[in-house]
Amino acid sequence: MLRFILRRSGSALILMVVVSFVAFMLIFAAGDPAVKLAGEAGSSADAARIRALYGFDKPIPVQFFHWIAAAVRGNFGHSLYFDQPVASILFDRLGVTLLLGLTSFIFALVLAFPLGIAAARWQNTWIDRTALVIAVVGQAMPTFWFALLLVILFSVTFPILPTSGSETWQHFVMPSIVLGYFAAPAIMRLTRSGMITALETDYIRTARAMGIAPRNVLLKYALRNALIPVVSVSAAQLGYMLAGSVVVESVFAINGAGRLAWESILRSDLPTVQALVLCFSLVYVILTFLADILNAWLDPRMRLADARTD
Amino acid sequence: MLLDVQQLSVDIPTAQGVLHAVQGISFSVDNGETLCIVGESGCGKSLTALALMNLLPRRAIRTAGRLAFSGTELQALSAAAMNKLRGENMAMIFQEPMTSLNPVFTIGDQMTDVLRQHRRVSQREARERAIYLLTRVGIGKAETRLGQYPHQLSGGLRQRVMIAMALMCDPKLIIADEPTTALDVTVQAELLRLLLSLQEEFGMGLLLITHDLGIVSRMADNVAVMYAGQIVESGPVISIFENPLHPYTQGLMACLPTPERKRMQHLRAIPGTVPALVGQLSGCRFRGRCPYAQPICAEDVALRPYAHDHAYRCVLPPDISLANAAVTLETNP
Amino acid sequence: MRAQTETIAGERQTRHLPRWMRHTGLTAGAVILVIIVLMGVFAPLLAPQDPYEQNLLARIVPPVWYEGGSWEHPLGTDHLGRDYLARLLYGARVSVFIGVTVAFVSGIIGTVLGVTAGYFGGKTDVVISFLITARLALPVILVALAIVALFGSSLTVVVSVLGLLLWDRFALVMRATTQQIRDADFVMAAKVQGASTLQIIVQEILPNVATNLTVVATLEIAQAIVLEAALSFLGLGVPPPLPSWGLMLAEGKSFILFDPWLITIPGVLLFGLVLAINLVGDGLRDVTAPDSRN
Ligand SMILES: Nc1ncnc2c1ncn2[C@@H]1O[C@H](COP(=O)(O)OP(=O)(O)O)[C@@H](O)[C@H]1O
Ligand SMILES: [Mg+2]
Repeated sequence: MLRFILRRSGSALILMVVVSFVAFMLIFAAGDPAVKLAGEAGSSADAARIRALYGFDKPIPVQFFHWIAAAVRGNFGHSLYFDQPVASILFDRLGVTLLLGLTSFIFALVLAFPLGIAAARWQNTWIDRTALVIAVVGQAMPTFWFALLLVILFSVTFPILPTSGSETWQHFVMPSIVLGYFAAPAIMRLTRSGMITALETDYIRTARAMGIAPRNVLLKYALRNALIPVVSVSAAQLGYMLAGSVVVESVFAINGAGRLAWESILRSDLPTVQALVLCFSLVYVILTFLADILNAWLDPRMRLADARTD
Repeated sequence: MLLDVQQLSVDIPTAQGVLHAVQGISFSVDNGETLCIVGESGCGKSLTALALMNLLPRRAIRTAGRLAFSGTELQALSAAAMNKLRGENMAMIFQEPMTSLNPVFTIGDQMTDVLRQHRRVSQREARERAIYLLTRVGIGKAETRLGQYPHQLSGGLRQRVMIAMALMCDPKLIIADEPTTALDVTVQAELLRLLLSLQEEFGMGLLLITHDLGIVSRMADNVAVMYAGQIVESGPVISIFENPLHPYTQGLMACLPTPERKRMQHLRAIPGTVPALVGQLSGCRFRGRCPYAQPICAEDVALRPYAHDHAYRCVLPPDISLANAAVTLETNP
Repeated sequence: MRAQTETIAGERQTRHLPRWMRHTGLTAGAVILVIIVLMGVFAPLLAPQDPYEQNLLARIVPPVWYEGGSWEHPLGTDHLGRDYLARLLYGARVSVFIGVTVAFVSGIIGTVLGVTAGYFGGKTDVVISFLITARLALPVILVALAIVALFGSSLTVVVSVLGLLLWDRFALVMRATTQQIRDADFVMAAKVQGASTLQIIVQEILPNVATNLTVVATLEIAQAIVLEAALSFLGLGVPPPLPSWGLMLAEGKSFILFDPWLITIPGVLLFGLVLAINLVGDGLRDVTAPDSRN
């Protein structure tokens, strides 16, 4: 298990470096960043000053090295808009987004697992069909439109939920539903197909032949096997949800990292944008890494791949 | 009577029509007795076993005149009651040791679950029972094995685990569906010996399914020969081996290795193929492959008694049949 | 025996798959899709007036079925008095155009990468698989927003950015499919006959991955359409007077309290289009490979 974790950490680390490089290169995407930063009105002297200030005159690999070395120490540069270190703005905002991600994820799982399992257990009945319709609709529903529909429903027609901000738990209800419903279909469909496959296996027949109670056959013997592929997809979906917070936070005016990213992009606050792209990518890398470990725990064949006996 | 089966049929609706996989078969197993059901692949043996356990594929239809276990009519039982019976009083061992154990739970978890499902025992007691049984089925270092996962065990070991698991609740009847077919020949022999000794120790009835008459001769008290969904001959093992009356049984015997025809030598198989079991069936199912087929074979044949408990499903009278058997046996070097 | 039961089990699955969903889904999806595409193609003929023509005296006129609506503007007007129906029709053009071109660009990138990885295996595969993983780690919407902001919003920029970002699923699926057939007999036969690698890939591999490619393409078209709408919704998609459904939603947002139809109507169209494409994709997958549902 330890060896497994070490190996996975290694590849996650390499991935992080590559992703950081992409985030870093964003600043060069549209040509000379110094000219960009100086703005339309900026003179070439301004640009030269900025170039020296930010070290843009050095070779790119050197710049990247400086940037990543600073980032590792928690220094993400200086926000142009806030005129503060990016890190100090970032962490509060990330907290809000992670909280939103968590509540949305819980909503997604609460929706996806029971429906996926029930759809498999009662395959081809109305339950299965209802679950399928819920999944198909969820996959086609643009998050921002769904968010607006919920606002119309719960804030305009029946004014019971607040539309903007993140002060109370009520503020998180609509955003969580939106993001959760965005992530649920993929998880639900995979749970369903995994359960169908598992329920047809020989070992489930064995469990039934041994008189194991049907509930245990379904929720222990079959589910544990069906969950293995679901874990990776759920982690990926959680990552997409966090990225999707850009849209949802801007609709609900939640002061999280997603909204910060959007605003920073509109303000051309590139250091902040870079830091955010990096953070979102890292969260994704960490999530998939955790999913791998969870999978190894769920699936002994993966965990014990190095240590085969017999 | 431990198990009494009368007129058991299994029908499976398919796209081409109804598949009559098992057609009104009757047999019984007593306490401590071994009944072998023998027949070629596809003749309905597994479905028969699954029908007894009520574990048939979802769309298969089971009908039976009587399906009694220890005097209880199984068809009248609720799903919950049937579930209680499974694993506790009747257990089953499957053909595929590689896929029949759950890959994500330890051997110990799977074994103790069976006992704790049916008996109010502590986890420790269940573990002790599992260790005892693993040792009993010839697995060394049982304690260590309990913590291992199926993929860490060889096929032979996995099948031993299956047997131990089936014994967890001390069932009265074990149904073993080709338990050794997937294993090496040497492992096969060991496992069969093990099954015999376990049966002696625990005094349970054994319904052993196989396609190998060699196994039958060593294990069975009684034999039922199945062909295309029907029992074509049944009786005590000695009587069947001494006087095989049905041409199909005779054919199977002719394929058996004898001391002169060693195991590894090329064995003769009965020529021809099993008829499709879809749609309306009539007449002797074997007539297409039978060397003695006559026009009358196109009509349905009933099982007819020959001697005590020995019956066969053929129009040939026993004396002619036996003469044929001698010919068949002789002409097959 | 095992194989036999397995095919039988597979048969059962297909036979009992909810047909009403599989075939009705495919048909319904195709019908909606055709309608929306025709709307876009014939927008100039169908539109009651020019989608850019402003009329500040007739701003936010409601659709006909509301009080105050008239047939002059069947679906009302927006906050600048532009005819909503006309803008919706032209918006269909934008969505469909972006969906198709993005899927085309990303399809080429993803297929080249995926087939290369799948066909050559080994180190090539490791490198490309790593590229795919790295791409998956990037938050698409954020990177797209940032790049559109840096380059300035235009149709070309949106198409290029999304095309360069959405190739991951193409690559994954093409890689897996190519791996499955790379050692098939017909590929071996071509090799023995001395076909070049390029010939083999073009003549033997590509025709055999085409169905999967189509399925992924439909799903990516849908994805691209939603993303463009999201970008436009956030103000960094196609540039303003161009009618995009996402942009219309963003503009309607301020009027959510009193004129929610400004939001529901473009949303329904966007939802309908994406739903239709997904239904077609799912349907195609079911029809071509019945067992690989989900
Ligand atoms: N799930 C199933 N669906 C349809 N037909 C089946 C199924 N299982 C078995 N059959 C058919 O029923 C017949 C008997 O099968 P089985 O009992 O497994 O034979 P065997 O004697 O080899 O154990 C065979 O023709 C087989 O093809
Ligand atoms: Mg069988």
